[in-house]
Amino acid sequence: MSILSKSAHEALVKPLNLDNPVVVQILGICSALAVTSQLEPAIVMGLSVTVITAFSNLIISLIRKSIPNRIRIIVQLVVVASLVTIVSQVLKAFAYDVSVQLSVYVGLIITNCILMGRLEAFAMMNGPWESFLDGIGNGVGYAIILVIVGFVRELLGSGSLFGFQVIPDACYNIGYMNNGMMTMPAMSLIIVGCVIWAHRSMNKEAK
Amino acid sequence: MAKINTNSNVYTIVYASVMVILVAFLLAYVSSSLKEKQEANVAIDKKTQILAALNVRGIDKADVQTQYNEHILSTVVLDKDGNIIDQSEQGVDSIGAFKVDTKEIGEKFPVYMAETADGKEALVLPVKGRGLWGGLWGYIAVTPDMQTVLGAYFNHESETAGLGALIKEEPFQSQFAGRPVFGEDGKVALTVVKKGTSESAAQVDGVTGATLTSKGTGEMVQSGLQAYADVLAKVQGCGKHEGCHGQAQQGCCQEQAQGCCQEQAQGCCQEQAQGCCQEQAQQGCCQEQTEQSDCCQEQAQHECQSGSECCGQE
Repeated sequence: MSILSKSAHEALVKPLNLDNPVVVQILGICSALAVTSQLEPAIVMGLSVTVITAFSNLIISLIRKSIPNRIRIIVQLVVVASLVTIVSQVLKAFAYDVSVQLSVYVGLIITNCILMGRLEAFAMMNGPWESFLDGIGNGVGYAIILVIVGFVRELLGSGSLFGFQVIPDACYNIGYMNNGMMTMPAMSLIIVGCVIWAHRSMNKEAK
Repeated sequence: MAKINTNSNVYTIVYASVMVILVAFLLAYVSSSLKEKQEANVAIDKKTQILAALNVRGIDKADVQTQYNEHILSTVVLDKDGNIIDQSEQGVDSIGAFKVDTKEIGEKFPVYMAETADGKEALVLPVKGRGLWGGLWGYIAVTPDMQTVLGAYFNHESETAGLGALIKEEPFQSQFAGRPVFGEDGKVALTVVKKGTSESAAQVDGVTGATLTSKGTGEMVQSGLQAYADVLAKVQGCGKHEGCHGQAQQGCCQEQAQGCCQEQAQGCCQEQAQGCCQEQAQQGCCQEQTEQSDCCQEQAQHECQSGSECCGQE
């Protein structure tokens, strides 16, 4: 990695695994519940969060020295909220289908804890470039978990991926049934729990 | 240059004010510059949904407008007494039913006179209701006499993905085609029930695991169509509005010919079917009917079977 300095590289890569926002920092669990019963919305949500985390990190980092300390949370919220509003308006104009798919979740991005967490913990103290990469890293780290959970839930819950049936009819004929539990929001917590378990035990060995 | 004290009150207030004003202008600018494109998208989306009810599905975005103009013959907006408050000809969507917002359904009754994918004559009736998490809406295509469903489309604001959201998909919606609208008691019987408990052709299987969404859809269909049935019966009974002109051949009079007016046949309604409504309005028969609005309301309730006698008596 010659393009990225060591700290920038760390900001980008660490959140993907060792400092993953969902399974290590336990941020953004709430939306992981809502959008993961199918794979497609999970991916779209992951992408939108990545874009918005990256740019809000960048903006906050640029103006971090001018922000009055006492209203910094409000300033962060205003930046995030305007970004989300603009992204949602642009989607409505140029990618209407995607915006319909995301519907309420775009608004929910504003309240995603990853955003505020990263702004407060990283962008307020680091330069724009590192902050931007940190945003991308955290967004992608979040997206990975969403995709894993979405994959398991859609496969076991509806026997399909991206809406296409992947479990052959023959299996249903010999008595296989979709697991209705998987489509319930509670199951995503249990799957996230399993992912955290796997992640912890893997990293223990790495040490 | 002296460093500005970013913690002073004055700085904080000025900072907040400037930020708010900047952001407000930015958002206003983005919103107004994209508005036209967004509205076009919304219109195309609505047309796609209406076409889906007519079993015209899977068409390319670029073709939606052409297909819509081809399949929607004319539209009319009725109020709850059956008066026409707006209407439009084929190929016009800047006025008429298309302009009625989903929120207004229930006060206004937009009706699309249309043709299904296989060329059958149909009325498309928009309905709205409530699901588990948010609003539901749909478009139901029925035969002009409102006896049989030809196709249906449903959509939702925020039902659970993979469960309630399935009402948006074709497999659920295609169950509706061919179902009878009315039950034996003359009331709208078409509804959605728990899968496997269907007792008649008018009861459609719901989505497994989405009880409340299915229930909401069923209620929306039943109460929505009942409201239309009441309104259309008033139109059919009396033709009391002067607005029939535009509609003349297509909507009102054909229904009149078919619905309750078959029994009234020898009376004014035959002329209605032909001429039609303009003359009627001036001629005696229908004006009397108008005045005897009780009679016509009863007709609506008694589902037209006894309607002829009723009008005859008075």
